[in-house]
Amino acid sequence: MLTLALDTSAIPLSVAVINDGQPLATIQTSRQKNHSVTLMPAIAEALKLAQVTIEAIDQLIVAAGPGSYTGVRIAVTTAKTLAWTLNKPVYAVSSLAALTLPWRQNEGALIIPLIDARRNHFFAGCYQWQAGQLHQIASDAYLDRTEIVDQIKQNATKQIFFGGQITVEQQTFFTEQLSEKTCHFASGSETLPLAGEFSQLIINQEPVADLDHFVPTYLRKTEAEVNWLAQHPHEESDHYVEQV
Amino acid sequence: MINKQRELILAFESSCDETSVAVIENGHRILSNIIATQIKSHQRFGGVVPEVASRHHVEQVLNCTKLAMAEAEVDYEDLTAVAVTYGPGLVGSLLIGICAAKAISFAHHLPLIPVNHLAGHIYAAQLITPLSYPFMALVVSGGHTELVLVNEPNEYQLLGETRDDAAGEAYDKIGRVLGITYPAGKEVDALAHQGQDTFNFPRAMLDEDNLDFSFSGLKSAFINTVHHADQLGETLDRKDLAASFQASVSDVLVGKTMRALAEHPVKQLVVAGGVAANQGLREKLTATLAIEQPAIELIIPPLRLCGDNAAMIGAAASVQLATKAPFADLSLNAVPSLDLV
Amino acid sequence: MEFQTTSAQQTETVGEKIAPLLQAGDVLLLEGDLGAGKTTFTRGLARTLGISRAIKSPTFTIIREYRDGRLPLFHMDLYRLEHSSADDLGLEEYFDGQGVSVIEWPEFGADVLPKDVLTITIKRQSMSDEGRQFTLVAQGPRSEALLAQFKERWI
Repeated sequence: MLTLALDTSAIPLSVAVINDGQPLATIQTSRQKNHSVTLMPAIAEALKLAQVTIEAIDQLIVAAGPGSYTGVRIAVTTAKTLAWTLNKPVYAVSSLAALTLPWRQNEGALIIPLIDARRNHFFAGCYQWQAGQLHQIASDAYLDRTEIVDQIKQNATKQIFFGGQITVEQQTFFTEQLSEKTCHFASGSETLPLAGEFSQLIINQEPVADLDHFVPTYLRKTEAEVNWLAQHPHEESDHYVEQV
Repeated sequence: MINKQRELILAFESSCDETSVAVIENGHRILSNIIATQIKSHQRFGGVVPEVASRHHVEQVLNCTKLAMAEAEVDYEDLTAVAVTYGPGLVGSLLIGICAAKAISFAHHLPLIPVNHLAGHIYAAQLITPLSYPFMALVVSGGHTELVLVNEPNEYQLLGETRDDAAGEAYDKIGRVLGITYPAGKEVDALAHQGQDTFNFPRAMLDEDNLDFSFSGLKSAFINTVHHADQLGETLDRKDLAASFQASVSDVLVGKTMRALAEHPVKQLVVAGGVAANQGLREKLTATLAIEQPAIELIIPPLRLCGDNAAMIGAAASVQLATKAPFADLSLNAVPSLDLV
Repeated sequence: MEFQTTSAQQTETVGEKIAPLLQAGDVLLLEGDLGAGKTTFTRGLARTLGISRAIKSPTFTIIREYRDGRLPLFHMDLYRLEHSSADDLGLEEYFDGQGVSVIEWPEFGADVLPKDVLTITIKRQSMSDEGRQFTLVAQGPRSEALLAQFKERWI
């Protein structure tokens, strides 16, 4: 079973070709967000390094958000187009769940993966690994950092494992606010999504059923829509786009 | 087996608020041209909101591709190449077409042809009638106002361009002042037909010895006129305001085009872009051409091909293929302020 | 700093006078109503930077790049972001970059703008159609230095 896995949800890019859970080739960058330039060449290179063709791929896994809107759109559009045109299934995984992978040996620990969303806000998750399975404790959400602290405090677990790239300043904030807990922060390659491990995230999961309507998990409406809905509370419709 | 007689290009266009996918045969025959427009969505906000546009493109791109392939009744092995608009346009919107086009080009080992959106507008004419070189093109849309001499296939010479606002943009901006919702072009056009050119707004740069345009002065004159009337507590006739504005825009567009045609002998004049739908412009251009240059064939594509669509991208891509223009590789990026020349 | 111009030509001169002082990474915010003269100012600035192409309105694509001058010029118009967020446009890459950024309607991108900026407000004067009131406010050390240099040149 050959899998092509990709993630461009934030600054890092990760692309891997996996054979039955074993990564054959992985491309990893964390330089900049110019994923539109780098993603397809990375896919081509990963396949080349793995010595397989795109036709040989059996399934795809894509980190579908939350994260950078442009980043998740690039990954999802690429994955769903490839899946459709090659007639292969695609699995969507949470970009936050992807960041829990470095802590999967820490059975039962509370894992808080974070993706910076600016202005002291994060896309935040709350997960636990148990017996090789990832469990979602709370839905992925867009939260102020104080809200994240409040939610962690409600959980009795002492050991908190943060995933993702978090600045030293933010680490200090969480450590100080959660003084009664022990905070562990991912470091080095632990902070990155590792597409080579994504098979772990789709155990017992179904592939995307409706590719046409497969869109990224943004978690936030655009400001334009929020403002408009506030003024037009009963007018939301699904028919804003029409074929002409 | 590849059918060499039949050149088939799968084309993508997503530069602004329309998602479109088309299949074009031999550069001029439309096998399919699926267009999904987001206009109703952006009307809620009074203009195109970039993030909303990008989101709609992701929702639409695959469905449009499926429909385009099905309607054309072609398979991937029949295709010669994949083409995509890579600029100018909104970066987030462009990227969706680019991602989809790259994925299909890669999956089926097809060459990827990067197309300039303006070249697409110009070659929409090729879907109507065969083109004979050199020909003149007036490109007028929300983002562009350019006079282009097309000397040979895919060889553009920029004769003149707007020095500030595009014609379509001026329409949207004065539309706001008149309280007309986006997109204002159609309603201003309709209003203009009921009024008279009484305000005599400036015809910017019409007497200057060049082929450039300027609509910023007209926009300011329009705003000043309304502003002064407001201060004096007067209400001006909206129909006459619209008629005066439209007369100024079309005088300048037609005047400059006539000057270009006088300087550069051609057999065909192509009018392209969204503003080519404007009735006032069509009428004045047809009438003036009949008097001043009756030998020149005027080609204005039907409405569906004036607006943004992928068929025109396929037509331009076919010309690029024929002229052996370079293909793009998988690192193709969106270029929001891409120039034609 | 405040002063007045009496014609569109003089508004353009303001841009011409500031251009030679600019360095890579400088960010100028232009505030003013529709038709206040923001593009006129930018035209003068661009020409003096050695840019030969016409400065067109960037409203349609939000950003236009000009790379044929002494420094690249990134001309942005955030008007279309009125209801949206500038978060994902990748504007930071321009601010950290090798060129000068001139930003119209900066209020719609306040979230992502750098801290060191020179804000230029252009106001229409009710008396005449072409007269404009200029207000220049510097935030941050680089912009303060730029403004001080400009004051010496604008007499």
